[in-house]
Amino acid sequence: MSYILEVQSVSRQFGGLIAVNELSFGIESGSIIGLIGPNGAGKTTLFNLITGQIPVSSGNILFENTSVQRLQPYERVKLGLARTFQSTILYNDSTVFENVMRGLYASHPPSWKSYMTGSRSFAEYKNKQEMRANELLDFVNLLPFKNSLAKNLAYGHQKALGIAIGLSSSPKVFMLDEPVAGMNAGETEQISNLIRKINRSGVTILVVEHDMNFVMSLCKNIIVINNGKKIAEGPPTEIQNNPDVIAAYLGVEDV
Amino acid sequence: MTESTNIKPLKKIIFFGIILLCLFSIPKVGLSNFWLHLLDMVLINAILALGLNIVLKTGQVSLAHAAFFAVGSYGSAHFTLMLGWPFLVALLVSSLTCGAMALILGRLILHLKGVYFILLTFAVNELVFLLAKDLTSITGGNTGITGIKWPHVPFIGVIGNKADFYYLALVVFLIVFFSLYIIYRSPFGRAMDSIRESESLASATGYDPMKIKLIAFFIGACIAGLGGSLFAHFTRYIAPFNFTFWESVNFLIMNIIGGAFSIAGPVIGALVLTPLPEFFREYVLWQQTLYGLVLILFMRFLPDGVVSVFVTFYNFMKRTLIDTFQKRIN
Repeated sequence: MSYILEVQSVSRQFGGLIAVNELSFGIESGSIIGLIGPNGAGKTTLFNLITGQIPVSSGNILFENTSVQRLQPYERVKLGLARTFQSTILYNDSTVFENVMRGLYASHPPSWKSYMTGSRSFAEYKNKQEMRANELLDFVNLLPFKNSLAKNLAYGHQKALGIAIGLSSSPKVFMLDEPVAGMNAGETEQISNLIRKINRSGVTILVVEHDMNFVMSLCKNIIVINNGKKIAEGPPTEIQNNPDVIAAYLGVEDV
Repeated sequence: MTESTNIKPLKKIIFFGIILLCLFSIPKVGLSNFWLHLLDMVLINAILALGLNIVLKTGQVSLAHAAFFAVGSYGSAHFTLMLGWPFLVALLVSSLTCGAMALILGRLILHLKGVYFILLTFAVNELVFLLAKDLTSITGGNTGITGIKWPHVPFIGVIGNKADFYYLALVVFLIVFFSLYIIYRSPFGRAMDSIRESESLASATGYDPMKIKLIAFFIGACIAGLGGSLFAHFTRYIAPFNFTFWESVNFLIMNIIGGAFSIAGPVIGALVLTPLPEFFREYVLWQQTLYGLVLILFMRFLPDGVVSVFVTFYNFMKRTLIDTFQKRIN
């Protein structure tokens, strides 16, 4: 079985602290994978290692069978490995539309030549990206808010915009860092449906989340990490009954 | 800023045409040498402030701008005096020298953010200042370099007075201004805005922050080099005190007072700030204190500079006019 994204015994140390320790797993193309673990388990560190925000101390990260651990974040995005941020990071002082346009221009840059000569191909490029931006905003139901400033959006809408910006790079693997943190049940359901919709369009999803109900209902396969190590992997029902997982979350009873 | 993009192209051309006509006819009014001197200095400062503007546009506050200004000035003085190069060649080569320096320096310091970047650029400025003072064999030390020639331009001849120099400075200024105008509206402008607003998001969506910041730093330094060269050939005497840390702060204040995120901002800033020392000669001791105060007041009450007042006023007028018009119809 070949994986679209494969993490091979990846470690990361911060001084004396081993945040991620010899971790390995693989993700099959087209699946929805959940990554869970108690606070401080190393989820976000692992996330940042895969997207390249922080370099690995050792180990390999393979994306479509090519090793990417030496690449900068922007290079990984161009290969098709996109992410969203835990705390909603947006271009706050720009419009919703401009936010998505920037994502599109960043991941599909126009050729300088076509811009400088003012040729028709640049006009075509611009039209294409504008249409794509509208499509993306429609996809996450933000089209009515197209012209409002990102900072004035409601929290749930900001999260959705973060997803639209992430999708602007047409990713093959889309990584979401706590997409429903701080949301109510209704909003969580909407994001859940949105993620399924993205997955149906052929994008592999890796999601880090604290909300158990959300993860259990969404993901086909769950990876549990604790203290930087993988302690379990499998379908939701199996994970729920795994003694190691229960111990990690609830602690072990002293006998 | 979105409002200004709504002006129709033809209107815009007429608008710029009238401004150009005014700009080119100013020396014909018969101004005294004092005013011509001020005007020339406004243009030179506007060029330098524009150079800093593109660096600010990527979110990096550089205090090394006077260092590039110095390299441009000393470079141009040397190229014409020692090597005997024609003025235009010296202008371009000193500008590119600044650019090359920015590329090397930028690689080393542009990954720093916020206060760390400010501190390091401050140190670079001091370093260049001290080199200008201490490398007596090249820079003339504290005495500086005297006897720099008026610029000689092919087909036009020697530009030997302040009125003629105004045209030279104006042409360079317009080239710089419109180049930046084009760059800001290009996809590269969008990239710079992205980096400034959120570098982590920009890099997570596919922009290479280092490359974009480096290009902006390079362009900014090249423009500073042009300004420096013009300055050297205008005053025809340069010395280290022209290039202190305060000079860098001045260019920053010009950007902030005018409005750093509009291309007109630094120009308005230069227009406001250049004449001030001339009119407040008696209070020169208080100058830096006053600048500090003005800077704090602007950051607190008018963070987008004077330009934002015009934009707000323009939008307000437009809205009220439309409102009254619609009421008439109803």
